[in-house]
Amino acid sequence: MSAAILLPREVVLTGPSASVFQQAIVLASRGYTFADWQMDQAFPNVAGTVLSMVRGLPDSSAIEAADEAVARALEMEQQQAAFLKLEAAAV
Amino acid sequence: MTKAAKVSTAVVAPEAPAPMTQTVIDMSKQPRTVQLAGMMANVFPQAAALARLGYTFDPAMPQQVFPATGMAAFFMVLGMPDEFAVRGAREAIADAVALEQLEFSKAVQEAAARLIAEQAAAARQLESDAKIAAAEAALAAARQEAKATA
Repeated sequence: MSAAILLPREVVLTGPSASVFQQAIVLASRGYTFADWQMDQAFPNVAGTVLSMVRGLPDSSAIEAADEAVARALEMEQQQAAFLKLEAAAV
Repeated sequence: MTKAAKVSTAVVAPEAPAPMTQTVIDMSKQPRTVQLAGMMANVFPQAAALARLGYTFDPAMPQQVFPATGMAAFFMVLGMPDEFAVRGAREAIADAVALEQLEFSKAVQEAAARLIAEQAAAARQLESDAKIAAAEAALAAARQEAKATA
């Protein structure tokens, strides 16, 4: 995506759930975040999903919580790796 | 041993300056999968934060969103969305830009029409004020003339 493209204030994504959520990631990496007043439309169903995204960053508490989720996941993966190593050594 | 330790302390370089930023991400230390679950208002912003760290929604797992309870749960994995998603996002941005430009030009047209109408009303007011002043002057002159002839 070109960096010179005009960035609108709000972008609405519609379509199949799998596609819409992936597009949301593209927008998030380009400075958008989820519009919290329209999250209830994100219900994935047969008709599709509607996600509204607005220009902006997630607040600090969300970033902190995401970092904590990453730390928990990392710890879990390290424990699993250690367990697999132990298991392999036992065999 | 002690002597060597003393020598080594003497040649230690000054402490390296602190890094300019602490946002450098070591991808080798990132977990492959992160699970987010909780209130939508909490997990969606977290998903946006993870997207900036290089995560995407796991295409192999469905995103579970429950508007009735306000809960959502999904897995995010390291990776980028595919080209199809990038193209779709680009199209969505282009649509939104077109819509915002349309709304902007509509607002400009409305403001211009309002300005023109206000200017026309002001001109009409000026014109009628001038007519009233002229009529009042004519009336005053007629009264003065009548007084003079009486």
